[in-house]
This record gives sequence, structure tokens and C-alpha cells, in this order.
Amino acid sequence: MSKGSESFDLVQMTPPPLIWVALLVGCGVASGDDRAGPRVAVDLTRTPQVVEVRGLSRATANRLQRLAPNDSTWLRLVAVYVDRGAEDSASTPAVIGRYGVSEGRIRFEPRFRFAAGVAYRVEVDTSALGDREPGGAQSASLTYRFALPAENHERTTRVTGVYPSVARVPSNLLRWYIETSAPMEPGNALQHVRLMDEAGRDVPGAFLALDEELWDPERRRLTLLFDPGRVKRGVRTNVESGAPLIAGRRYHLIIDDGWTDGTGAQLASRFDHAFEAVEADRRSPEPDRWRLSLPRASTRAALQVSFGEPLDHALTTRMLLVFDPDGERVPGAVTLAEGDSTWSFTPSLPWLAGDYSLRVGGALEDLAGNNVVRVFDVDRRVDSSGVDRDVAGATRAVRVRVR
Amino acid sequence: MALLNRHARIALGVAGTTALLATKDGATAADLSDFSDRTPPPATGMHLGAVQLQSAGVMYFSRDGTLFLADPRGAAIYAIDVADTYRDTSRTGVEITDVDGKIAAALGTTRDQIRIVDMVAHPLSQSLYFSLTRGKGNDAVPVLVRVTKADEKVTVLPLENIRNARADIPDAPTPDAKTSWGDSKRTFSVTHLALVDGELYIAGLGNEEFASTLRRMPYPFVGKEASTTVEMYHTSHDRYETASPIESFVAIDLGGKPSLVAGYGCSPIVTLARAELAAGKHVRGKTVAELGGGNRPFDMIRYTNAKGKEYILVANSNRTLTRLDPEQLAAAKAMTSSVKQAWEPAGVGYLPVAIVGVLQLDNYNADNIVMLKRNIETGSLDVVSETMRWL
Repeated sequence: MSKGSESFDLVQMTPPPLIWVALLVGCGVASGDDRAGPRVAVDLTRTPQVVEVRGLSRATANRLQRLAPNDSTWLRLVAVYVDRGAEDSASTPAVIGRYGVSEGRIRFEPRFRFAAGVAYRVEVDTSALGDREPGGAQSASLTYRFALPAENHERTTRVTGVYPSVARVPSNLLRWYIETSAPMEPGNALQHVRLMDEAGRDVPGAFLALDEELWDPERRRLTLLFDPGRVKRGVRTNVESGAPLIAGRRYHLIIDDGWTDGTGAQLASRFDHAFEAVEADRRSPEPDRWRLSLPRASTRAALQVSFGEPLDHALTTRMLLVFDPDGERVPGAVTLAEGDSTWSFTPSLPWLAGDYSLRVGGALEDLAGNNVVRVFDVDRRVDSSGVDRDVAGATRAVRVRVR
Repeated sequence: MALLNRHARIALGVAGTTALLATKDGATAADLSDFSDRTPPPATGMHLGAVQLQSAGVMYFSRDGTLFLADPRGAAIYAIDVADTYRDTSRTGVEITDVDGKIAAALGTTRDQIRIVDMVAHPLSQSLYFSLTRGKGNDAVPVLVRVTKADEKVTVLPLENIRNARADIPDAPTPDAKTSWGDSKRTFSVTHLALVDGELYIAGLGNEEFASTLRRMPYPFVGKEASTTVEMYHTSHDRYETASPIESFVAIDLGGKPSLVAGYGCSPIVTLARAELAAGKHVRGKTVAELGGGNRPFDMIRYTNAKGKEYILVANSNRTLTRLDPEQLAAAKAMTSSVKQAWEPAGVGYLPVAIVGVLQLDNYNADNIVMLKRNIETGSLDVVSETMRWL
């Protein structure tokens, strides 16, 4: 399409609300006079957004009225493009949407809302419309450009915590949970989260890259796995590169402030969590060895369980359940303390005297991914206990005697 | 397999669902054999309605052109009649340069504002289907698009009104799940999906427990009761046994036994007999190859070349495209030895095919496979084909 006449609008979305941005093409003066020839107008404030070609003759409008909303003819008459500048080519497709004629105007509604920060170009073939501009003998097309300004949001989102939060973690630590104050933008965490050793050097390849990052439904908690190949014993990357953490050394988990939240704003501040790696943990959590602080009957005092080691923050929150002497689940509230090494349960109603039970899900893990049934990587020459047992369905019960 | 090789079947569909099967005599050995595990499912259980995606995940096409799509956030799998009635029996490849830029432009945005999750090829129309996210963060919307081979026409699938069937992913956390202490934060990511012997196999990993679970559900969907989950383990050096999430897998016969070949994030290639999946909840695969450290097997397909020889292709994060020989995998013993230096491959060997930057792989037509590939010179994301004649 030859370039007939061009115009450009940066459309302001901020108050006062835009009603119509209309531009008369070819005649130089904005006017409501439809006999002035075709011109383009956009309204981005309404839903659906709309691009209109006004100033059509009645005959043209009547002719176009017969076309279906997705008729390929429309694209030869009016097409909206993302303006890609130097990257534009003949094979750049037009923006997908629905066409129609209303009140003598061509209306185009994009399938998806026009995006902030993107430049658009409307091309109208006036000769194909049969509505050539008056006096524009050599001009067969008109081009109209518009853009929505990029939105700038304030940097208010922060990392509110990382788990495990304790200062000493086993060198075969399996994962971090990173929690933020607002939903984040998924997909680029590994560019902003890094592990640094005591000399200030990055530990490369420490974390497992995944196509789909592991976010909670609100996108406020990221699960970041250490590369299991480097944590596992005997596995090639462990042999070649060694474990990412070495017992006895100090590290920093650093989250830089370039990470963007769900609005596109960067984090308000950098987050630096210092910790020390200690001896690897290759034992399953052992509920029989946990220390219980038993509540008295007729009180709502908390049942406290000390694991003797920090357990996985997320799993510990949901994999310990209390059942009453009749086998009914006891409602109540759970808190974790002392770096997730203590679990407290406050019942909604006072305890009754009798034998309650604390049921522990088989998939409850410690910081190194050892679950209650089996260790993370079983050395079958030494210990194959739990190897053939089902983890997900298994439970362990601990008696809770209330007097 | 052999029967399918001699009489490659061409499905003639109406609206992609009421597929009739016919044989096409004289077809070469390569014809469509690669879809032979893609048993045409009966088009039952679908209804016209909205697919309310919370996320667009990995996909799989059955032979008759039924699209299976994972919605990990919604903890669901959809079978979708994409109503792709175009039939293309040509044997030429497909080339689309800057495919992400073009899709983004059609969706009214820029390349940096879309994220492609998966690409699969329609087995009958040779159109390409992409699952992707348009927009970022709070504005992100899951979208399915079709890009045609002949004219690169981009179409958005009308998910608001399309024939589909939905099933919950068994034992996956649902978005509205509650714990007694508040909203659940559990989610499940699907890494690979395939229809095998009339069942959907779903591999993935959770954001909490580090289990490796393979979920299986019959298709047509008949309800949760018929679904099963299998805990998957594999060995390293025939000594350590561990769980690990499967990154990609392919269903194939090894030594006459229906099997799975699975690639794990920490690079081992593991085989297991599918009969074991049916028998137990706890299955141990055999590690037969290591592609080398620092690598992830993004995607896997199997195909039969012009000489009638079957192979597996693996797209890798940090290796070339690699070709594995199923006969060697079938004959291999479990690996017992360690490697001597970094990045050294071990166990069953592979052919490093001189193609790099492959992110997605699929079977395409009688002569070609199709790839979504990053051009390492220009940085462009392209759809390219490769003839199986040389593979």
C-alpha cells in the first residue's frame, strides 16, 4: 500500500478520559463532515476498543455492510498493524479483530485490548473503498498512527521472606520459597535470584531451570529448586560440578531489585539473605523422636511439636493434622516458629481428656527433601528402607495424650 | 507398528472430530508412522461451550486432530475439537521466520509481551498450534493460536465457544483448594502430555513435595475414579535411587515391549515397561544413558526414517538435537559407572544431529519433522522443518 497521508497520535489514557480522538486526513481540518472523505478515529477507553473509518459515502457503507465480521476482504480495505519499525515486513500480520459497519462507519474491534507502550498503524485503502479523498488524485491510501503510553507503576513490591529462614541449612538443601508482598511477573526469576559464595562469586547453575516456574496461585510465592542433579549423590552433575553448597561455607541468596512484579514495576529493594551450609542431611524426619508439649484438658492451650530440625515450610503447614479420640479431625490454627522447627496447634474448642493423634503425611519433607517414608536419594547398598513404599498415601501417627 | 508402516492411515475428518479412517495403499514406510501411538479416540464426551483457561500449558495432538491441552493452574486437561478441516497431504516442510514476532503482531502486541509455552503440529492440516500467554503479570491472558502452513495466517482459537471435554488432573491441587489454615498455595506444573494406548499420560512436578508422579487418565474422559497416579523413581549408577520430575517422554516399543523413554531434568534417559505402570503405584525406571551434565531434555519425539528405521529425537537445552536408537536403549543394561570428566555423555550413545537451539519438536508429515528453533546467529525464533531422509 502506498503511503498517502500520515498522522500520529499518542493517546493519553490518564484523566481527563478520552472521548474520541479523530483526525481528518487529507483536508487538514478536523470536522464532522462525512463528505470530507475517509478518516480514522480511535476510541481506546471503551470496551471493546474501536478503530473507526468515518466519512464513507452511503453507497460504500451499504456495500460493506454485507461483509461478514471476519471476511478476508476487510484486510484489503482497513488493517491495523503493530508498528514494528525496521522489523516490519510484508509478512507481518494485521491485528486480529472483528469488522463491521455501523452508522455509516467501518468499525474494527481488536480481539485483545491494545497494549500500553505499543505503537499501532491503521492503513486504509481509500481507492479500494471507492472513497478516494477529494483532491488526492495520487493518494490511494491513508495511514494513521496511535500509541498508548507505557504505564509506569510505583515500586512498592518487596520480598517479604525466604524459607528456610534459618541461618544454617544442610548442604543438600533442596529448595527455597521466596515470598513477596504482591503478585510477581513469572518467567524470569533465574535472572534475578542468585547464589553468592563468601568470596562474592556467583555459584553458577545452582538452581533448576524450568519452562514453567513454580508459583503459588497468587504468584506471591516462588519455589526455587536447587538443581537436583547437583544435590543428588552419584548423579553426573554432582560428580562433575559438585553440590552447589559446601558444608562449612557461608553464602548469600540475593534477589536483585530488577525483578518485576505483576504490574511491571521493579522491586522496591534488593533482598539479601545470609546463611551457612552445614553437614548434609540424609535422614528422614522421624515423628517418633519429636518432642511434644502436651496441652491440658479443658484448655485451648497449644499442642507444640519440636521436630529437632527445621522442616519444609510449605509441607509442614499442611501435612500435620490432629484427630480426636473418635477419629474426627480437630479444627484449629497452626503456627510455625523457630525457623520451621516448631509446630503449634491451637484448637478451636478446648481439648478433652483422652488420646488424640497427630497424623503426619508420608510426603512431609525436611530441608533436604527427605520425606517421612524415604530419604531423598536412597543408597540401596546401605539402606533400602522405604524404597518400595508408597509415599503419597502413607501416614505416621503420633499419640497425643491429653489429661 | 509394522502394519501401520505398510498401510499408513489417513484420517479424513469433518470438523476434526467425526474422523473416518481410510487406508492409503502404496504409502512409504515413513508415512504417518510417527503418529501410530496417537490412537484416534472416539469423539465422545465433547460439548460446545467455553474453555475457561487459567493457564495455557503443554499440548498433544491425537491422530484425528483432537488437541489435548493442559491447564496446570486450573488443574485440568482439555480435549478440544479445533475444527481444523483443511487437509494437506503434501510432503514439503514448513518454514516461518520470526514466528513469535508475527504471532505477537496478530495479537496486537510485541514479541516481548508474549510467552510461547508449546508448539504442536496438526497431523492432518499441517497447521501449527501454539499455546502462549499474551501480556505479562496481572494482565497475562492464556491464548491458543493456529498458524497455517501455506500463508502463515494467524487465528485465535475461539475458546469462548468450542467443542471440548474437560477433566480434572488426578490428585492435582485445585485453584480453590483450602487447607484448614487458609488458601492452599499448592500448584502443579505439567511438563509433558501424551495419549498412549487410550490413556493420557501426564508428567509434571509440584511446587511443594518433590515427588515424581506420572498421572494417567483414560480418554474419552470417564471421571476421576478411573485415573491413577504412579510414583516414579530411577536409579543412578545402579546404586542411588531417587525421585525426579520427568521433563519429557515418548511412548515406544522397546524389544517388543510397550515402554516409556523418559528424559529427566538432571539429564538421565530412563526406560521402563508400561506394564509396570499398570501393576503398581511405585515404579522404578532404568537409567540407560546420560546425555551429559548441565542439560535439560526439552522435548522428545519418535519417528521412522525413509529406510524404515525407528529413532527417538531429543531437543536439549544445552546440547544439539540428539538422536537415540531404540534398539540400543532396549538392549542396554542399567548404567553402573561414573563419568571421568565434565559434560561427558555416558551409557547408550547418541548421534549429535547438527541442529542447535531446538525448543520444541513434533512429527509433521510423511517426510518431515517440525521444530521451534532459536536461530543462534540472528536470535530469531523460527519454525523450521527437517527431512527425515537424513535423520
